[in-house]
Amino acid sequence: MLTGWLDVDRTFSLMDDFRRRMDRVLEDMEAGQPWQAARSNTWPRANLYDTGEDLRLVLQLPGVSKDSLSISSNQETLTIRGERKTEIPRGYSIHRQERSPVEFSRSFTFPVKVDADKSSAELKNGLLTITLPKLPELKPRSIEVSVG
Amino acid sequence: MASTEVMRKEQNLPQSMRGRPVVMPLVDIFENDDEYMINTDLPGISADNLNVSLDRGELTVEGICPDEPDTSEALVREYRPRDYRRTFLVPDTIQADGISANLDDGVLTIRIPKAAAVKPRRIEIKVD
Repeated sequence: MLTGWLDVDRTFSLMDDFRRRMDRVLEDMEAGQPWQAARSNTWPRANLYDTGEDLRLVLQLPGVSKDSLSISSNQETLTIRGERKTEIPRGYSIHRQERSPVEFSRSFTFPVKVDADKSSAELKNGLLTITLPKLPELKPRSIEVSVG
Repeated sequence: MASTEVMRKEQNLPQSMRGRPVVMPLVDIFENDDEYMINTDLPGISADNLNVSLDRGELTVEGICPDEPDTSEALVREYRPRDYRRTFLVPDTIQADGISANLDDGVLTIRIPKAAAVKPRRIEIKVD
């Protein structure tokens, strides 16, 4: 009887796993952009937005504290390194463990030149948002048309 | 042992909320003599947009992800804002009013204390 229940549980957990993989595949298909193709094991996941004035890079970093994060940049690339720990609390037994510890490093190059000195970063609710101002000569400019 | 049966998750299929797919967040579930502990990844969800509820033995975590600002254009998109939802079956032998939830760095930690009746108890031996 008891083993029967456990088998049922295992079947469902396989389904869970399958569901998660499918979610990832679908996300990858949706992402479908030719920048750095997101692989299913890419961690953390990142979105890049253009707000006109700035480029904004947002990374999903649940469980990464400010102290375990480092951001460095040179002229061409921005590199984010960090570590996410998922420790088993002492004296506890495990029912499920789906979250995994990760040590990561991701580098990004941008389609336009950005001003690294004036960049800012904010970590909130597991999202890291890095705002990179575009260099002045690249900001959108309207050109007046004079009538002769 | 009863603990092998607890916390078996109810199969909640993704439903469309606000026309957006709902995904199951990843969880770790731990147990010791005093409590159950659930850790779950909810990146981008603030405490205001998070709802944890217990109803007839089902503990539900729901997180609504805010929309992306319209003003910016996405150049690269590796993820989309997703709403999260996951339900857990909780045994009767818990103290419902003692449940606590704490959100830190995008990780929600829920602690569910066990009822005193099911905690292991040490019995003192008196020597006359």
